[in-house]
Amino acid sequence: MGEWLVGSTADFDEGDRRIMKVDGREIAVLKNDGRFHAISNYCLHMGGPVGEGMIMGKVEAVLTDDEQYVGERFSTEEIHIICPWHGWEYNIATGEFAGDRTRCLPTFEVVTRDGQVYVRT
Amino acid sequence: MTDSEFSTLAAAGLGRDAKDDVRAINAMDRTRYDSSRHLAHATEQARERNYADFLIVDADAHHYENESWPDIVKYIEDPILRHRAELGRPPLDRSNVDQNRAGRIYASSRRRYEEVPGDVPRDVTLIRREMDAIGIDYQIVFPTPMLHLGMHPDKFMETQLSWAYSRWMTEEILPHDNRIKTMVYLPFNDPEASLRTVEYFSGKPGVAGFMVTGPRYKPVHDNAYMAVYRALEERDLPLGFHAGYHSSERIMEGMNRFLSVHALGFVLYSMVHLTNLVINGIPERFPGLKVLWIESGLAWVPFLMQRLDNEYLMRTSEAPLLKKKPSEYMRENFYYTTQPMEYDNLKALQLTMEMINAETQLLFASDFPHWDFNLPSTVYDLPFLSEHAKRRILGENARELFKLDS
Repeated sequence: MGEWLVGSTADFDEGDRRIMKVDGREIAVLKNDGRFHAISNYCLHMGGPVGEGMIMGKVEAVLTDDEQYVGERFSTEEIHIICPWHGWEYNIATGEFAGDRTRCLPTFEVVTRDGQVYVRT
Repeated sequence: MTDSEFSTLAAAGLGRDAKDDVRAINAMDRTRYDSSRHLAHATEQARERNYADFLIVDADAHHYENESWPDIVKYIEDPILRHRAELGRPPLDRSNVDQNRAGRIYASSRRRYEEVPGDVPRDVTLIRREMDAIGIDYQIVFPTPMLHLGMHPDKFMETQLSWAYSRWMTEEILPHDNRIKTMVYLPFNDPEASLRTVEYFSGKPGVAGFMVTGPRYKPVHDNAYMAVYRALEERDLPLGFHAGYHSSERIMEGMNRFLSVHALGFVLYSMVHLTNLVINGIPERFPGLKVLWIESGLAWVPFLMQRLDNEYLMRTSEAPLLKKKPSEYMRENFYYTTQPMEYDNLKALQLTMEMINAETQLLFASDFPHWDFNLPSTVYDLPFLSEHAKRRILGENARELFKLDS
């Protein structure tokens, strides 16, 4: 348990991420939509480097009032990170796995202080 | 256009100024192209016939819009489709192939950019890197696009292309590393060519067996194939049926998602071919022939065992060669590769492995770099397998089947 320095806030452009090792395990710290998130870098599926994956909104179906499927859209509220090995998707804020909400990727608190980014385990 | 403009264009099209009489052509150059030069004779005709004097309208001509695809994509209104189109190729045909989901999964799509030193063929370096990274000692390597060749309407194409590929593999790739093997492609739409393939490639270094790609409509129990099965049995070389889907399979015309087509397509042809082999008594006629079912996963096998047993027991007269139930042939004469292992339900998986006699009949497979690849941990981490069973599945069954180290 502790607080670990990741780098300076100025080092993070939008979408950037840093992979750091804490107690032998990798944590991915990323910046999305101006906010920092930290997640375990081991996909629950097969251990893939989930922190290296694409980030995009959850795909939502668009239905009419009488249940007709008319298209899809990216959610602007639920943002996913996608493991590049097999496509498992996780909510970057909560770590919830999109295929089974009872399963969660460990997430960690990120704090910024005096222009520095820290992750707390 | 004036006469002088015609002259200039014609001269330019002929690659010389008006004073030159000779123009050199590099017949081996397949890359350079200039429309004006290519059509220079048409320009001459236009001048000779005085087309400039009257209106000419072309009512049908074309360009290749895919060459400008990045400029077109931005106008796609649906955001999901635009995203898929941006990082993929134009989804203009039924194939709807988007295995890597617009770059979400990128091992196979970015692989082409990987740098290699050049001391050995590129494929050798990439295969070695993957084996070493995953912890693999031997790897049976198969082609990818050629998995669809069995559906080519011209069987000559399958025979010729697969032969060329197999010669390249066995002469230019496999000799570089004893750890890399293949099961040679059999052009099964041509039984005679398939027999020739067995006779030619048997014994070549790195040839661990022979393989038929699943997507095809041939009846694998046809008399024409008996010579092939005999040749394989005599040489004690395994025969693999490698699964694949077919984008134009009619029964899937109503399926709008790759997930759906892949889930069913990759077991469909395996089920048909296995059923034909078993019900027509091929294991009875060739008891030494070892058949390996590749890349259909495992969940389909218990279903087929139960289904065929139930039907057979009511209709034994339709399968007069059988001396055992279909499931017994499936458990004793057939082998299976693990990938893509359906392990979300461990109870079902455990029963499946018992039913197929996994300890002796199951072979680990990664299918790397495809989008649903597995790792050895997929087997190694199964809680219900003994250490002995894990080692059998991960390597010892393959060592025996393919006669590795011998």
